[in-house]
Amino acid sequence: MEDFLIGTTLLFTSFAGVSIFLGGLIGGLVFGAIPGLNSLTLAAVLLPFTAWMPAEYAIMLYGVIYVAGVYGGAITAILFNIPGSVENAPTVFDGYPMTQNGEASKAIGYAVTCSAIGGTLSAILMMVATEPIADFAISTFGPVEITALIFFGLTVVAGVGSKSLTKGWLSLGLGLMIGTVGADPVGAAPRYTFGSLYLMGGLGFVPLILGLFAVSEVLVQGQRILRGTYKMPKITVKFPSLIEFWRVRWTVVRSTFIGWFSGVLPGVGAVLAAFLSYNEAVRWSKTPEKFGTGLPEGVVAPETANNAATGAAMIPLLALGLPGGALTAMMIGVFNMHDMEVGPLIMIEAHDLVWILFASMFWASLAILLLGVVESKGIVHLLRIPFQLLAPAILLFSTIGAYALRDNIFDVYTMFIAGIAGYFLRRSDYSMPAIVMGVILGQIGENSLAQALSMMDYNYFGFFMEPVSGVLCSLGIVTVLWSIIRRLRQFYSPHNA
Amino acid sequence: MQVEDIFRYLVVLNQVVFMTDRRAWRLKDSVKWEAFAWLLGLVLAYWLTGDFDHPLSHFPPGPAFWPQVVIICMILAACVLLFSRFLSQSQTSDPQIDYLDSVPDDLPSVGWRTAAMFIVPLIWVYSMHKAGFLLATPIFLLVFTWLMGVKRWRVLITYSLGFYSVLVLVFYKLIFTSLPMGAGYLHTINGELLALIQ
Repeated sequence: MEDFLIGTTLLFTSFAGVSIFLGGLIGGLVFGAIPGLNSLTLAAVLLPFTAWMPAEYAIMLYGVIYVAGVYGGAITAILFNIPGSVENAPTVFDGYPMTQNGEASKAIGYAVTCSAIGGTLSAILMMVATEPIADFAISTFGPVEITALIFFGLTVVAGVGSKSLTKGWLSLGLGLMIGTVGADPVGAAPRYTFGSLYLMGGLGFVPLILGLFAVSEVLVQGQRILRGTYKMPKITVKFPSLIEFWRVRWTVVRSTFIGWFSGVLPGVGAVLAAFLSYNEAVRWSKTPEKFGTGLPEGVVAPETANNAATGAAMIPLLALGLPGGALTAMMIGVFNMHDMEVGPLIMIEAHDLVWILFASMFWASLAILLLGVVESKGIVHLLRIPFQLLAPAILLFSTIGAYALRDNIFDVYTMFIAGIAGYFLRRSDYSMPAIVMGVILGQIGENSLAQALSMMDYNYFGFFMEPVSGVLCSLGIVTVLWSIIRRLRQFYSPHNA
Repeated sequence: MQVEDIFRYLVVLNQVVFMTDRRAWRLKDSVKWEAFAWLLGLVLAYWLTGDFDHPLSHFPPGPAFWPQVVIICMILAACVLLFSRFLSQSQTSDPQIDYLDSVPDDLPSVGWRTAAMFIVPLIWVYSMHKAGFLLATPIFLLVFTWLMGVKRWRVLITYSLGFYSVLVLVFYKLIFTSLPMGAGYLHTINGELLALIQ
């Protein structure tokens, strides 16, 4: 506690400290909300300037940008079906339907509060148990367990966003297949590239998301406008009540745990945390078939988890020098620029600096809550803009987002082709969430599957020999069987006879 | 499973294999064609794995292993989709039942404006590639906003130019975002415009 107070005091007793804190917070929120220009862009732009900053402010700035950026992307995901960053992608699955149901303000309220809860709990856990948990997580979870975890996650995906289980499975398969385009993760052999250098790098995930959600939405709503059946979303400025928060308490607890644990694992991070957490919210729900239609749990789960992952990502970074993602890797660069090495000794050699980082991430999570409460009442009025004017703006922002990522025009083509394909797939009741989850989980999963098989000497049943992976794989198989049985029961229910 | 269920499965299997239910084939059944399209696409995707289906010294299953596993699972799912189509036709047409092909949509058929909505963005991307973002975007904004149903010229021009100016200010002047510059002499024009802005 004393360390935390010292960190807080060092942070807020100078004008420069407060200014950098607020600048990082607002910058992270704004950049996180613009598709393609996520907090990583801001962090990269600022990296050279940190060399002239005192070390404690430089590292604090990155902690605050990290926390704020993860939340910022939720706003556009909820209001316009455009996830600001990849870790906010699952938020669109139920966030945007909530907007269409006239509950945009509530959805933002859930996102803000749960982001703050996830981030704050994660920061507390980070302060309490950095070293032992890092050791435990890293020694227990290797490629075998991560593969099993992803398999477990995939088994529930098919049921999300489509009325048909078969079409859900086909959507998931399509996502997995899209993820295989490009160089394979083991031998870099080209797959489905047709000699194209662009395809060698794989189809960009951000253009795919922007296409499947933002562009296809413009096409769907545009057609409704032309036909005269378009309905403007109702705008209500209602923050979720305490009772409503109480109803999602277990989702918050579960997602905090999932997010935190995913954050601790190097290379897994906030993206997988958000997707897995959404999957688990579906699995544990009494009404899983309603996910994708605007359930609060669909917003709460990914937003809690992706923020919970931010604090947890600091654990392997500080304790072991292992970055969990690109932004934490940049933080290593900031430490190095100030002649410090991250690793077990950092807690002794730069004790105050580490506690400033912890304190700043804790206070950034709380500040998000304050900013978010104010923001949720005002920002929903953006929905008053007629969709006729909003549609070209959505296309332009999406295009800039898709292009700016790699300076590649083919990413923009990919986005529009994905958008047109998404439009037709939506018309035929295929699941956009399942496709997106297939792409992201498939890419991570194939990589860890190759490592796991190599470690198990290509024994495919080896997954059942290890305790953690065995349990996860068995649970995954049970989930698949249960979903089939449930559909068959539905099919043969008395009123269907 | 009861005897009636087994019998029903056999009837459906008969329909699928021997096509005795001609009516089913005559129905305008999108799901049936979807399933066939999937099967065709998947067989093609499997055939294409032949291009990279070779074992690696450090990974004997090879790069085709994962795509082939996914394709086989998808072929099974596509067969279930096809099979379920016939199964659902042999059942009652109760609208309460969650049939596998339910398409709850109010979307109209494709008209020329709809087709334009699909094509105009692609033309814009192509022209952006050739003429640069700065030159191609105002025209796109104007055309697409008009396509979306904004008919009043004053609104159309004010909105298009206003929004374009904000974009240029934010992305070129404030955060120096790299956007397409065009090719040939148009690249030079874009460069000069950019120098003027920045």
